[in-house]
Amino acid sequence: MDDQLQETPNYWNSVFIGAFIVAIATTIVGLIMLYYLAGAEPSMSMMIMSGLLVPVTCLVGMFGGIIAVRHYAKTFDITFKMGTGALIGLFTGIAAALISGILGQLWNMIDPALMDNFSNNMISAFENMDMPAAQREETISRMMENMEAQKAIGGIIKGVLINAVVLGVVNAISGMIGAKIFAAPDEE
Amino acid sequence: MIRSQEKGLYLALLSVSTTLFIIALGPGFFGGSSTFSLHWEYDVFRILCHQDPARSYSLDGVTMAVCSRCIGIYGAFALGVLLMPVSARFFSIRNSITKKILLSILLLNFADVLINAIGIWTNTLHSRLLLGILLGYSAALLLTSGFFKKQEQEISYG
Repeated sequence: MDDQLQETPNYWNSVFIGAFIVAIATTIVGLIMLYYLAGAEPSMSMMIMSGLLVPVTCLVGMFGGIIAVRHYAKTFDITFKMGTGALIGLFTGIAAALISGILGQLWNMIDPALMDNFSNNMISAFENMDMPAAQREETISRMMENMEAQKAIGGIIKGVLINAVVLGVVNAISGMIGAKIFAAPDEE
Repeated sequence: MIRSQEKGLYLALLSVSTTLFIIALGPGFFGGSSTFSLHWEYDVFRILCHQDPARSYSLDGVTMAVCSRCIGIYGAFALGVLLMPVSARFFSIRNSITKKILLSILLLNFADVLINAIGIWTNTLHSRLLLGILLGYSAALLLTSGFFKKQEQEISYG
């Protein structure tokens, strides 16, 4: 029994490496977008961003599972099933969401005005939008409620939980893909 | 003859990929209003996609929760997972080949982003959707041999 347990090397080091990379990447890209939106002219055009930044935000969060599985397979030079890859990816995604949440809160302490500037600019953008006055008021009111809720402890925890579920799921899938690429036996 | 393995994992993958695709379709799929960014579907994908309305499709007049490339990825991946038993029956899929296909399509997507950013080529909603579909389906194709394998039929004589 002990021999069987020792056969599977510990994967937590790989999980945290994958999680840190994803958390730092998503946090940096998210902050760049926030600064852009907080500093832009309050119009609909500020929501329409172009260039390299917008497309790269897509998929960044998905690569944690692949990175962690690759690190695990290469470090120990082993092959394993997709289920193991899914598990490593799942833990990587959850850890990435937690780390990303902590980094986000730390940045809020460094620059507390950022979220207020972002909120004000978004509200100004909606005030300039061409829509019926009643709908505009309702939208702005709901947006302000949402933003206030997101600042509260409950809102922060809810955000981290949503991200943990979503990143956990997509990284479990990318972990399976990683297992097929880096850890599948040759004959497969 | 098709041999299935890891049935539990396959069913979990099928459920999860289908659910992700349905949520990615956005509030329009659930009869929601057109007010951008105030729905839970946008919260789900906020960390994964830029959700730029100008680069996203609409459903029933409401912007989807992900961009056109991402909806292609999620949709084609879910369809690819659903079709795994069929794909395995008709194609003999080798891991080494599907790895190369996936890597090539991933590089194609990055090239599309880069060339578009430089200004040599301007991609569109449809071109991004197409590249997303290729990426999603090739990812599902790579996983197919892990769940379903084609077995040689036993031939009996006499």
